[in-house]
This record gives sequence, C-alpha cells and structure tokens, in this order.
Amino acid sequence: MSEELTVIGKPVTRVDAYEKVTGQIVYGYDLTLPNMLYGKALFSPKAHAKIKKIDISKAKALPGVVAVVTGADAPWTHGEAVKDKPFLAHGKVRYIGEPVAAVAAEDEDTAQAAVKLIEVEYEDLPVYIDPEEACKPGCVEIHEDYDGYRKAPFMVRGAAPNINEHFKLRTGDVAKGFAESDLILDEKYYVPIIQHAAMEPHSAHAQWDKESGRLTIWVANDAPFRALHEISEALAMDKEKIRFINPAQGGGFGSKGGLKCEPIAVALAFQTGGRPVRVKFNREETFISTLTRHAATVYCKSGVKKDGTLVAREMTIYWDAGAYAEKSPTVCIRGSLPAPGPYRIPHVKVDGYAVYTNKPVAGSYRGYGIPQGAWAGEQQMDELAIKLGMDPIDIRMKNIFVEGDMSYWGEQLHAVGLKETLIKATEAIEYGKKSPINKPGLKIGKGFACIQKPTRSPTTSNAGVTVNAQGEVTVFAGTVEIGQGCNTILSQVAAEELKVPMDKVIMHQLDTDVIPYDASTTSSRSTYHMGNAVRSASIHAREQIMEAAAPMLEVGVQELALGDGKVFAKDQPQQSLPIGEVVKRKLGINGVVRGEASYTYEIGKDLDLETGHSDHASAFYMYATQAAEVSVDEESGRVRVLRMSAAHDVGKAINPLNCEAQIEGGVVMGIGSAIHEELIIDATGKVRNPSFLDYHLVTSLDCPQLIPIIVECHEPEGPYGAKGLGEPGLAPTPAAIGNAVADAIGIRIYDLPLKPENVFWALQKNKKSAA
Amino acid sequence: MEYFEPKSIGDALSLLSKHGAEAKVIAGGTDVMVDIKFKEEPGALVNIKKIPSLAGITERGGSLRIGALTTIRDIETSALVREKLPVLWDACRQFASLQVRNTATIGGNICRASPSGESLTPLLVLEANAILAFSDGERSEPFKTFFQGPGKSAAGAKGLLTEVDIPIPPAGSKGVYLKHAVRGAMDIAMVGVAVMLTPDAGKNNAQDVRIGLGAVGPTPLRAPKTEALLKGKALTAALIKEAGALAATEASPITDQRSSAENRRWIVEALTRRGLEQTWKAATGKEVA
Ligand SMILES: Cc1cc2nc3c(=O)[nH]c(=O)nc-3n(C[C@H](O)[C@H](O)[C@H](O)COP(=O)(O)OP(=O)(O)OC[C@H]3O[C@@H](n4cnc5c(N)ncnc54)[C@H](O)[C@@H]3O)c2cc1C
Repeated sequence: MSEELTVIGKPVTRVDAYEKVTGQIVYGYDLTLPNMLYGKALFSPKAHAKIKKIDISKAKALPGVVAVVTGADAPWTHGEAVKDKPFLAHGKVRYIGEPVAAVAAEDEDTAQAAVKLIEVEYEDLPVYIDPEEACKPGCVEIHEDYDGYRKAPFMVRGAAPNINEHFKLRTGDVAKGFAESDLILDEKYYVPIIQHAAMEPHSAHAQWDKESGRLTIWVANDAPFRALHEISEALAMDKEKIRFINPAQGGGFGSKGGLKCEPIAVALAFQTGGRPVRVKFNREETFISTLTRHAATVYCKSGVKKDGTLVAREMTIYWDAGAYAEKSPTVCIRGSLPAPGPYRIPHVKVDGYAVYTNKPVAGSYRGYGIPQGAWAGEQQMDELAIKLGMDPIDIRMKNIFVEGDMSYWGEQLHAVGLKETLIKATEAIEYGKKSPINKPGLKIGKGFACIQKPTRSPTTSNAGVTVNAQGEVTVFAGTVEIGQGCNTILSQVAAEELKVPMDKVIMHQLDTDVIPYDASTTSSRSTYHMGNAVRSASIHAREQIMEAAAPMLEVGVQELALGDGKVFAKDQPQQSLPIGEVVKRKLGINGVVRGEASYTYEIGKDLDLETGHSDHASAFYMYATQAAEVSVDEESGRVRVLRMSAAHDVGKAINPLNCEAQIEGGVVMGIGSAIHEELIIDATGKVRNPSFLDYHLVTSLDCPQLIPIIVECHEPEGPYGAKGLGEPGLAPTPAAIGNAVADAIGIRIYDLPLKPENVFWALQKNKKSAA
Repeated sequence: MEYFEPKSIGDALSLLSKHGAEAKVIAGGTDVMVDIKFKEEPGALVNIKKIPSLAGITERGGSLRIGALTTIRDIETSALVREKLPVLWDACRQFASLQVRNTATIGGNICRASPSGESLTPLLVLEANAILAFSDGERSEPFKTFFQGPGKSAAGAKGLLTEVDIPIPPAGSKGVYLKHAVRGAMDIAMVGVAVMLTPDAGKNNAQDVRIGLGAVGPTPLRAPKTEALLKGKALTAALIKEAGALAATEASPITDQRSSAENRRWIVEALTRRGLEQTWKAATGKEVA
C-alpha cells in the first residue's frame, strides 16, 4: 500500500510508560506465587577445586526446610553452544560463585540459614585467571571432559588447552600486505570484565506438577524459547511439557538470556511436592554468579600506505570466557569477524580464541564483542593517522565501507550509511575545532570512532495478530519487553497496518503455551525480524477483514481502504464500517480474525570454518559513529566526558523518540565502561567489588551533553526500511573516548577503563620519559 | 533484634548501659542499615531520632553548635554554615547524593569514624569538639583525640554524641574541601583534603594554615609539619609545591580496590597544593605567585 504512514516514524509515547512510572507493573523479581517456597543457593568459595564431600544433613534437619539439593540430585548439564554447565556443581567447581547446592524453605531467612549449614570439603586445583596463561601447553584442562561434551556444529576446538572456540579469518596475504606497507603499527590492547548491572537482579520461579508432568517456569528471560529448548534438552523432557511465562523484565543487556537462576529453581522444584519455588539472587550474587562481559586482550597490527590506504590488518584476540562456554563461542565468532573495522582491507588475518578461565561466566553483553574490537582497531586508526600526519577523519574516509563494497569476509555490502554517520557525528561536536574551554590543569580533547555490527543470522520470528468484534487488536509476539521499547514498536506496526489507534493495540503477555516461537530478544534483531513478522501477520488479518467487508459495503476488495479503525470505499469514504463491526457481522459478537506470519531471513552460505568467509553473514548490518569531547585532569587523571554525539544508521526510525532513548542509554552505558567500570578479580578468582559501592556505574552527574543523531539508510528487507539499534550505542563509545583522551593529553592509553588512577600513571610515565 | 525509640537522652543512655556492646545507635541509618544487611544484626537497635532537640544549627558565643541529628542536607543549605564554616559546607555539598544527604546525619558521619567520612577533616581543621553524653555526665572531646581508628571513637559503645561545637574561625579565614573520587556523585572519597587559611591583617601572609587529610590513614589526619612550614609566610608557587610534597609524606595511605597507596600520596600532594592556591586567593585576593 502506498498510503501515507500514520504512526510509523512518529515519536509515539511508550505504551508501557504509565504502568512502569506508577509502579504497577510486576517484575519477575517481585512475583509471588500462592504456596511458594523460597530457594537459596550455596555458592562455591573456591575458583577451581574438586568437591570431596558434601554434607547436607544439618541443613535438612532445620525446621522449615523442605528440600536440599546438590549436583547428585540434578545430574543434568546445559549450555547454548557447549553443554558444559551443570545445574549444580558435579564433582568440581570452576569459579567462585558457582552454585553447589540449594535449599527450598518456608521463608527466605530459613533458606539462607540452611545454606550456611551445608558443609563442603574441597581439594584445590590450579587456578587460571589470565586466558593467555590458561592456554599455554601443559595447563590443566578446566573441563577435563571437554571433548565428550555435546557442541554446536560450527565450533572449532583450539589446539591448546582450555580453548573452547578458535575463530579464523583469512583474506589475502597479510605478510605480503605488511611488506607493501609504508607504516606498520603493532600494539596490545586490553578491555576488562564488566557486568550488565541491570536494575532488576536475576530470579526464577519454577513449579513441577507430577500428575500432568508439566514444568512451569516464570522468569524474566530475554530468550524464553531458547531457554525452553535448553531445559528440554538437558532434562530430556518433551518441549510441550515445559512452559515459560515472562513477567516484566527490568533490564537485561544480554545478562538474562541462557539459564541463570532457572536450573537451581528447577532442581528444587522436583523435590517440593508440587509447590512452586522462587530463586532470587541478590546484587552480589548477580555480580558473581550470573554473567559478565568478556575481558579481551587484543593484539592489533596494521599496515598502511603513506596516503592512508589500509593494506593489511592482523588481529589476535583472547576472549576471557570464564568458567563455562555460555555464549563465548558466538561472541568470539561475531566479535572477531568484524573486529578489523568497517574498512576495505585487502589483507586480513584474525584469530579469535575463547578461553576458559576460573572466573565468573562471560557471555552476551550489549554490543556482542564489537566494543572490544573497536577499542583496539579504532584507536589504532587514529594512531596511524597521527603518525602519517593525516586527519583521523580523512584516513577513515579513504577506507570506509560504502554501498556495494566487498567486505573482507567476502560479502557485498548494501544499505551502508556509515559515511553519513561519520560526517554528522564529528560535525556535532565541532571535531577539529579547538575547544574554547581553558582551565588550568585541565586538558580538553576530541575523538571519535566508527563501528559496524552484524546481527545473529539466520533466525526466525513468528507472530499472530487478532482483531475482535470490538475492533481491538492483540499482538502475539515472542519479543521480550526488556525496557528497550519493543512493545511500543510492535504496537506501532500493528496499528499502522490495521489503521487503528495505538490504544486499540494490546501486546499479549509472553507465555510459550500461547505465543508462537521467536528466536530471542538479542542481537538488535527484534524490530527487523519481529517487526516483519508482526507486519505480515497484521496484513494477513487485514486481508481477511477487507475480504469480509467487500460484500458488506458492496464494492470490490480493490476499492477498499482502511483508516481510523474503519474500512471504507476509496471513492466514497462516508460508506464505511468499523473493523470490529466487520468482524462481528462475519463471525458474530465473539468472533476473532486471526492473522499469522513467520519471518526468517535466509542468509547465504554458513561461515567457512577455515577462512571465516560467507557471501552473506548477517541479515543486516548496523553502522554508527560517535564522537566525544573530554576533559582530563592533568594531576589526578580524572576523565570527564563533556559532550558526546552518536550518529546511528537505523535504516528507518519507526519511533524517533525511542531511537534516541536507545542511543542515549547505550552511550551512557558505554561511558561507564570507558571511564570507570571494571569487575576487579584477584589472583584467587575472587571478585573484589561485587556491589555498587565499588563497581562504578554512571550517575546522572557524570552524563555529558548527549547528541543523538538518526541516519536513515533504507534497508530494503526491513520493515519500512528499518534495521536494528539496541546494541550499537555502546559499541564505539570507549574507543571514541580513548581517542579523545589521547587527543587531550597526547598519550595513548591501551587498557580500559580510563579510571583516574590508570590515566594518572600514564601521565606519570610520560612525565618521567620527558624528563 | 530488639528495637527501642527512647524519648530522651537519659533513656537512650540507660538503654546503652543495659545492652552494652550488643546495642547499636541508629540515626539516619545510612550506615547502620547497610551493616545490618551485609554484616551483622545488633542485639538491640536504639533509634535516637525521637529524641527532641538533637537537631539544629545555632550560633552561641563565638561557636556554631550543630546537633547530632542535623542532616547533611540541612548543613549544606544553611546560610550560616556557608558563611562561617565554608570548609564544612564544601564537604557537605560533595557528600553522596541528594537522597542520602537528606537522610544522613552529621552525628552518624562522625560516630561512624570512617577515615573517608566527608565531614571529618573539616571538623579537624576547624578544631571543633564533640559534645558527648555518658550515663555519668557530659564531656567535651576535641576531634583531634575523638577519632581512634576505623569505626572507633571516644563515644565508645555507651556514649552518645549530642552536638558538635565549632569555634567560628576569624573573619577573613577561608576554607575548601577537595574530594578525589571516580564519579561526580555517590562515591566514597579516595582522598579528601580540607584546607583552612587565615591571612594576617595586611593579607600579606598566611597567619594560620590548617590541613586535614581524609582516607589516607586509619583516622582522618592533620598535617602538622606542612602547616608549620606555611605558617606566617606568603604563599608562593615554590612554597606550595614543597608543602604538597611534605603533606604527601604526612599521609599514611593503604592500597585497596579503590586506589593504590602510592597514587593516594600523589593525590594528597596535588589536592593540598590546589587547596592552598584556592584558599590563598580567596583570603588575600591574590594568585599564588
Ligand atoms: C549510598 C551511600 C552513599 C554514601 N556516601 C557517602 C559520602 O559520599 N561521604 C560520606 O562521608 N559518607 C557517605 N556514606 C556513609 C553515610 O551516609 C554517612 O556516614 C552518614 O553521615 C551516616 O549518618 P547516619 O545518620 O545515616 O548514621 P547511622 O547509619 O544511623 O549511624 C552511623 C554510625 O554512627 C552511630 N551513631 C549515629 N548517631 C550517633 C550518635 N548521635 N551518637 C553515637 N553514635 C551515633 C551509629 O551507631 C553507627 O555506628 C554513604 C552511605 C550510603 C548508603
């Protein structure tokens, strides 16, 4: 249809704003179920140890305790790519914070008291903290049975110990490329572990009904269908026997996919005679026992011609997986593949290694491996430019991906809005112009960084859309509202296609018994995939309504149009029927029209395991440039971000307000990861700062002036031309700030975070070498 | 845990005598509640917030008297404090966040006796006194001897802080509090430096200089050698440089997850220098030459 868009592209207010602002919404963490028991886990105090003995007798004897479980009661393992993670430790522990046993009791205090009565005897094993150390020959395998685990077919086991994935990209001949280069830079970069710190910590409720054999899990999980699949595989239980219900979710940022509290709740639920069990992690438990973002050590070597033309780039990246594989293999693949940056480079070699260590488990985190690669690659782009006496903008303009370019992984790119983002983001902070700020002791600098991000592909989204005789529209979509605004976006899509007001659209609660399959709410994929599915399902419903209306209005289907919740004849608009009326006349007062659709974006060939090549690796790519202006206190090393622009190619902004909010949220989160955040883990594997006292998130007083910029480079396959936007706001932020800091103080810092003490020592070292 | 709400100082003191080390006073609770959650529950919680007249700021015979229950926010917004005790005001406005400042009391900050407590170094340089009530009577204890170690003070388990008595510095005296932290709000000081400078009549020399160092020792500290170095002199760039370096040697910091000891010393040096520059300028109208 070529009519004008009514709600798509409009800054519609979020549909969940009212219930969230008024506190009416029930988050998973707040949910109470009738007759519920309270579960608590015992976490390993050892980073790597054999379990010699567990004695639960005292805990069992405590009045009010209903069940105590250990690995012996839960002989199951799970994991998305590698089935390596026990529900509760089996015979050994691999990180401090690993659940070893659990208790269900009549109240939380009793559960906690009982947990303290569980006695465990450990025998220490060598502890590996540094991934580069852990994969040295002769190291003990943290997973001695690794080769026996079930694994995803795309995985490549590394040649050295403890490597769970080795990703290879081979294009051209880097040796030849470096030989042809006029300038070569070779540096080591480091990005520390950080944690998602979603406002709502993790929890799960589980109930097992012996009679029906059904297992029900209430959890704010961002991929309930995948979680259901994992549970069903682990327990060898039919999928129809398992039901996931999603209460509201208070943030996730990647931490709430996979199984976290679920296995503990399930293990307990089998022992409580049918009573539901809640397992709720406090903040400290969330820090150490759910998920973190991979620390990465990135070796980056680049060769350029005098005129700035990139000739070769070689990167070796060690992804610190922590104790279990979780999503490390795919973070390693999808983070390493585009790590050389959004540039035409004839000779490229990348080796990404995901390595087990005795640390909390790393997995997906908003940006999925892109921030780590960009921290290295984008800083090195600036360094190359400076060494060549070029403007950092010019060197990028010379090499940057544009429409139709062939990428170094063998895919021809289309819908590439990168150049426009670069121009707009740098202009917005007057890049290249000296700052008027002049304060003694403060150095001001500007910097920017560019990224390209793929999405998980191929994946499927299904959707249903019903219209009842009251003209109300219900959307059945498996996308999880984790705070990102999907319920608003998907409501807009249905409202647009059915031409009904927004308040006539209801998003059905996510319940796997009712809602059709969706891959996950991850990887910035939902607006695109689920947007397409809801759009098609809405069109399917619309067609049925139009067909039914044609005889009622005594005109042909072709002559009908929709508007304002009504069907009308195009040339006689006064001849109309409300769509609810059409449904009623056709199907009766209780009738419902059902639209259905499935959307899968078929990609090209799978990645070649030897070269990393694919003719089409991602349904779409997101492009962004962000630019920062910072001040650095020359004496204390304190960095403050003064301004930050963020230009994102979103394809089409379905809701500009929501796009800006997503960009701003991503930028602010990225600032935290750039200038303070770091999970500090000592040599024994203990997290030293598992609380908001010493794990420094950004506060409103640390927020700079934010300048979100929307660039729309139409994506032909996307709904209304849209791509995705959830993750990229974070990805270039640290690198842009790193470049700005280097511009301010004339010193390049290779390790994150740029917290005062780290910057201080860099300044100090520089002073010494100058003296 | 038993819970009490005494209505008078006397009642509070007898509860403290009765329960001894088992008892815990609670005022704003911003420290105590955190401890209850993450450390241990006391046997008896004595909430002193129902005792009348423990809050308020009054001027009395050359002193400002601040009641123990006065909130940090009340101090921050007091025109009297801002005018007469700028060093204390400066510390209070950099304290935590607005929400915490609305709840936290100065008495709690003092009795917590954390080396990083924001109001502590200002009280040291102001040479203020703690007014303590015990079951056998009242006592005035200078802050110089009040702080005995992290969490340890002269109030002990059985004493109650009722007021702080702060002699108003001579007119013309200026003070600043400089806080080094990672974030702009809600952060514990890695280093805090309080500087107070009183010029002589001609505004040519520093008649009196007092320097307090926070978070760089088991208690908040004064820097007596540095103060002596500066007393009676005109501040020059060379002199404050020397003073900064000397102050760094007077600190005895530790290394923890927030900062290394060495970095803390450097920061003491820089903040001392800056504090001297700023107070010199405010007091004499002159830049440090
Ligand atoms: C999020 C957060 C941020 C914070 N940020 C800062 C900061 O930036 N700077 C800072 O200095 N502090 C900070 N704190 C610590 C705390 O807020 C302060 O120490 C505060 O002043 C304590 O006051 P309160 O009234 O809450 O004390 P409470 O918690 O009620 O008591 C603190 C201690 O003092 C004792 N006590 C209280 N009143 C008396 C009395 N009259 N006589 C005898 N003993 C008494 C209590 O028994 C207890 O040991 C922060 C705390 C939190 C939770």
